[in-house]
Amino acid sequence: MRRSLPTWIVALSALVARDVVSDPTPTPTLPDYRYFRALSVDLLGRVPTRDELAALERPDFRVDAWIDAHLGGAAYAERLRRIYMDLLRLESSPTTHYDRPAVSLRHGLIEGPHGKLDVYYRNGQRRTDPLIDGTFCFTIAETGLKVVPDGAPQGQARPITQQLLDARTVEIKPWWLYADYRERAPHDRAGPDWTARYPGLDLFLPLFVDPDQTPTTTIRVCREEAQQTPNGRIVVTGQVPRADLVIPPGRWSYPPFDSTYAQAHVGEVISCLSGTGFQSSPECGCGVGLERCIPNGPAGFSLAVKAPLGVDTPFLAIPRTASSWLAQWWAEEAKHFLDDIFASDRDVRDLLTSPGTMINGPLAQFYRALAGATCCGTGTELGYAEPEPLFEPDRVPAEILPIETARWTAIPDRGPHAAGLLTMPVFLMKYGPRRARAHVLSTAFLCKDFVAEAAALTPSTEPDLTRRPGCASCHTTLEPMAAYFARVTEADWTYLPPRQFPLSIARCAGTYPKKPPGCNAYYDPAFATATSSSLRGAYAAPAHADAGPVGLAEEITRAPEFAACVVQNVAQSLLGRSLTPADDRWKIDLAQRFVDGGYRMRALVRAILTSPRYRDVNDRKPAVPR
Amino acid sequence: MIGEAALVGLVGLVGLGGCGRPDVVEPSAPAPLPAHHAFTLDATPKQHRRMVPPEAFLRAYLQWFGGLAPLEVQRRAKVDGLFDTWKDYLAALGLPDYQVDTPRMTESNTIMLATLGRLAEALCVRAVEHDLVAHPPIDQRAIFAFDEPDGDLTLAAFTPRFDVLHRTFLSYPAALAPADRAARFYALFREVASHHAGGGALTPARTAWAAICTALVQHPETELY
Amino acid sequence: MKRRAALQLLGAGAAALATRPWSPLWAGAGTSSDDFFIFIHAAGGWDVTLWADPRNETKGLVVPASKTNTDVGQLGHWTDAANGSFEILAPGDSALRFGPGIGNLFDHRNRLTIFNGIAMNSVSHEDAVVYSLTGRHRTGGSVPAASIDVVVANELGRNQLMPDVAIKFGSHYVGDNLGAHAIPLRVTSVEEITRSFARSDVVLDGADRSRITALLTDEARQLAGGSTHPEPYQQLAVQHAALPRLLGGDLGTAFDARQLQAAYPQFNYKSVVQGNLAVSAAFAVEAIKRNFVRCVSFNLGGLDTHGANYRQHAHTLQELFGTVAIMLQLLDATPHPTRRATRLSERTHIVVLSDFCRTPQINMLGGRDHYPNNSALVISPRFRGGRSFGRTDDEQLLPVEAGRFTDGRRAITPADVLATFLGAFAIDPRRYMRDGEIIRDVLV
Repeated sequence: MRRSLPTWIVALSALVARDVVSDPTPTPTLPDYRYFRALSVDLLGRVPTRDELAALERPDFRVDAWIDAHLGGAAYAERLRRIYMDLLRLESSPTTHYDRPAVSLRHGLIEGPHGKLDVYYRNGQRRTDPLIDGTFCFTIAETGLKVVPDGAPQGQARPITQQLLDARTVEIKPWWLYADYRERAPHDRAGPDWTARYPGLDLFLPLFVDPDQTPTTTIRVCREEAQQTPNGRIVVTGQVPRADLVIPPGRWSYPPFDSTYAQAHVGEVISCLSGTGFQSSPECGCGVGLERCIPNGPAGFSLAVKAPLGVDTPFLAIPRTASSWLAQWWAEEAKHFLDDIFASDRDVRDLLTSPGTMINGPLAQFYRALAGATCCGTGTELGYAEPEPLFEPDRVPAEILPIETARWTAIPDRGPHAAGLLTMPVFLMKYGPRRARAHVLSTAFLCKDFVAEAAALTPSTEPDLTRRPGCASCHTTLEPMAAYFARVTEADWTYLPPRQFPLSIARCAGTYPKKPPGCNAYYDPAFATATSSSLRGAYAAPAHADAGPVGLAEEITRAPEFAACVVQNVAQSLLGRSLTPADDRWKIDLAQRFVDGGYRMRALVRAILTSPRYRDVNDRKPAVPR
Repeated sequence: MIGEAALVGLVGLVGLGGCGRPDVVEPSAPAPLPAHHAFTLDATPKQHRRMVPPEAFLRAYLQWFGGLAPLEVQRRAKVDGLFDTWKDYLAALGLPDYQVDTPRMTESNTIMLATLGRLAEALCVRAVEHDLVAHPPIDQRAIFAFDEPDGDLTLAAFTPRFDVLHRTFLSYPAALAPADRAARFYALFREVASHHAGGGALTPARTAWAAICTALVQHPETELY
Repeated sequence: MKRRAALQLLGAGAAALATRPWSPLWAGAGTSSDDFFIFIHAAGGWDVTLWADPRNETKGLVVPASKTNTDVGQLGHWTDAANGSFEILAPGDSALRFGPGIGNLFDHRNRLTIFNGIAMNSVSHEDAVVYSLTGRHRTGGSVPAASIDVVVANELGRNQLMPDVAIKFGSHYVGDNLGAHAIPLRVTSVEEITRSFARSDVVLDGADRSRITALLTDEARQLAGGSTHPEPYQQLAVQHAALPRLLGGDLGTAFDARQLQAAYPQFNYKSVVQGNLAVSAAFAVEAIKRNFVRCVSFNLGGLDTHGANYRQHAHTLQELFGTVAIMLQLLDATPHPTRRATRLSERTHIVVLSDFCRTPQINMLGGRDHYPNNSALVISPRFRGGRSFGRTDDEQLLPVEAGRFTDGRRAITPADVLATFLGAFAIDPRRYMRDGEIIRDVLV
């Protein structure tokens, strides 16, 4: 194999090993084959084919050119992605779903005028009729059934009239059944041609047949859920928790209670994209073609549960509900984001700092219409009712359909709070607590662990872990890092804006007479004084809380350890061993060149692959002279 | 070939030749210099061979199986009980499971080898059926890209055919392998063919080719790089 | 004194914790080759106040389990206390005290050796699991030492068919003194073992496979001989050489999950949390009975209860220890495969470890978070049963000094627990561990 060597080395090697360089077209040696095999494994993602070996044996083969040609392909990107996936493990646990009441369309099987009939509804949907407010849109008296959120309907079904059915429900052509669901009269129904038109999409039959096994052309949805308006008006019903509360006649559960926020803002307009809108307005439905909701059954979405070579090459795919399907795409977002950075040889600091990302159809739907549903919980008690998102919905191209699983689109800017992997749902869910988030970033991008080898923990009531004996050795560093995530809700992606969540708040002070119920969720009683309370997680570095994940990304990528850590991670993976002190000088040199070259991975990988450390893994025992 | 680093090292050694002066040089009687052997100093860095990542093995495996999708491989391989399901094998091959934070394995173990053997047999039996029994044109054969000779297979006839498989799985010509490798595999071929001389699902020779293929898929040099 | 310096003293024969005259246990002692080992990782971090270090009073940070935060309906050993918590189990025949999570293992209390107040200095799952199983924290994301199962397999499993089977267990093969035979057979389920060893004889048969593995063993040895770093080839040679015995037996059927469930109906395979993992316990008993393994390691999990799922924590512990209790009963009833008139339980040693314990206080979600204290359980004829060692303080559940070590008075560490276990089998801990001292008081 021919490599480009300096002239003087070629000349000297001609003297020392004439047999090697005197032949103008030498046959590759065993180390050459082994080197080529290693390059193939690392840059093609597999061992070479016989044809590729034949190319190696041709006189005009140049390994340098071969390497350059393969530093940038999909396999190359996947190889580098694997390094960071091994470090960050960015896949949610099998039990992670996106099954919030505001987005989850359940279905109750009732006896319709002409036989069994599935009616879709949201558990918790506000309705003006107090008998069905917050629950299924038919009473037990009407259907004979108690339709519960989880499990089969209970009771003896009796048929409802067509008139009642039409009064309470409407027929919809939903997004998973029609590609043109946004049209006035959708007609592009799921069929065999979708496989070719939407590669990668794999939907299972149960979604497409009715209980009587006839093809599903429309679905029945409770009337409120079918509403398309983007905003609704807040209502109150006078229902509040109290000790003597009883379940009203005709219902089997308590009606929804008026939140403090609803009581204070009755009649005001609220976005139906927020969980608050769902909780407080009967006008908020699932939008056009139900795109603001996902069916929680039947299990008709193909989930690639074993896919070491990518979800488009499943080794095991099973039917699951859309809520599990979405969680799969959260992980895919991170993978495609990583691949794009590596394949395009972008600045590696983008891993943490980029405002952009990659999305496909399901993710477009999620960010456009579903993500806001986790907002705002008890935050409404502090005036937070509509999300200030990490990914602004209007940055999502409108034309991307939810079923376009294989169409990936680069989004250059998600919004001012976005920071590379740090603000992606898969990261925020995988590493729910803010300390866990900081810890894994420190390990993966600074190559630093938090380990208190010799610290002795002694009993203490000090809540400040940067001061507490024993804890301080780690938490002095960890707490300020974790503080960058103080404004991103734990195990969620809801951003907590300074306007509603100041760093210090008087209303949550220890002695405040009417402390809002949401206080303890957002403000830490351990750091409350008589006059104020401190935003949870911010105590060690309040300024970091306001800087947010964007600030942490800047801090990490500015740290001198960042470049060295990238070099270490990549070199160790490609060499298949830990770096030792003997590698220090090489590592420092690589890191310097990496920084000088603008943090580009391609040059770094090339330098490693052409280094003797990688190239000469010949492992042959030298011949012993007699 | 000599490595760049080695050459630099040799230059350094030449430069060191003038250093170091003994305090006293005792006179000695002249004597003939001992005979010397010429050899090329191999000073290239040495590293541990490492396991081929399971992702690379799987991608290669699918390629050897004719470029089929994993689930199609599973469907075809299951016939005759040669395969169960992929999920039974993936963790044993050393793949990480990011969902449950199971790390990647970087050492081989007996279950891993057993799994590789299971996969190897499924691949090799199906490949014999596809390449040798169905007998498509050579360029459409994924593994056995050669014709079977008439009559007994001699070592001379075995060697170039073995080389095809050796290149496929080990990525280099058999001629560069330790000198007796072809002969050892030929012995395996003969033993397996003889063992199955009484008949079986495949002819004795084809059964023996399946064994050769199976051995090469599990070969140490297939698993390491 | 730094622990590293203390170890040098220890190596030089300085007085250690033990009150008895110091002499290395391994000096002159023959290694046991017919003992078996079961290592269980209670994954997620357990609430020690519900079993080994019971608390039923609100005191300092400690908010005990009560009917308001715990589902007590199916807890066999929950007896209401006046304050809404539970009555601590304090049997007259043992110095040990238990909470209701101990479940049916309470019946075997005189065989239990418990370590309390283990100083973890870690509340990260990744680090704490490594610390519990190796005695070392992670360094730079790497694991610096071998896990306990690997060490035992290395010392005592050389001639065993499967020295170390690790089912979803955090085994680590790290260090200079390890042979290839000690590489753990890591799988995520028992099914994988049976599937991997299954073979169809339609084309190739056992004789063919033996020829193949013999050839590959030779090839690996030859390659090792020509290598500067022969270790990977040597490992493969050992592993190929072991294959015929594994492929030739009835592993494929004996360890099938359904067969195991049929053979050991005593386990609760339908349990919500531990059901599938009970198969691992059944596998352990069967594999030991057949003398196939030296160590079986597996996890029984479901303990990471930060939120309202803490309500089930005591029940999960009851299931966990219930599974251990059934294993003990089975080992009691099963003869040793090679020793006459010996029950398996006389030569089988069980260790149960966890990541760390849970906070003494209940969090806002009704759960308990990670806390840098821990307990561990050993059931072994080499250990003094019905004993506990180490303790925590009353108000904060933090480890306190357990006694005098070579580096002074301090709490015990995971390294001490592991070193003590190795010492019980005449294994010099210092061959594998940087830290840890043998606590002689708990050994027979």
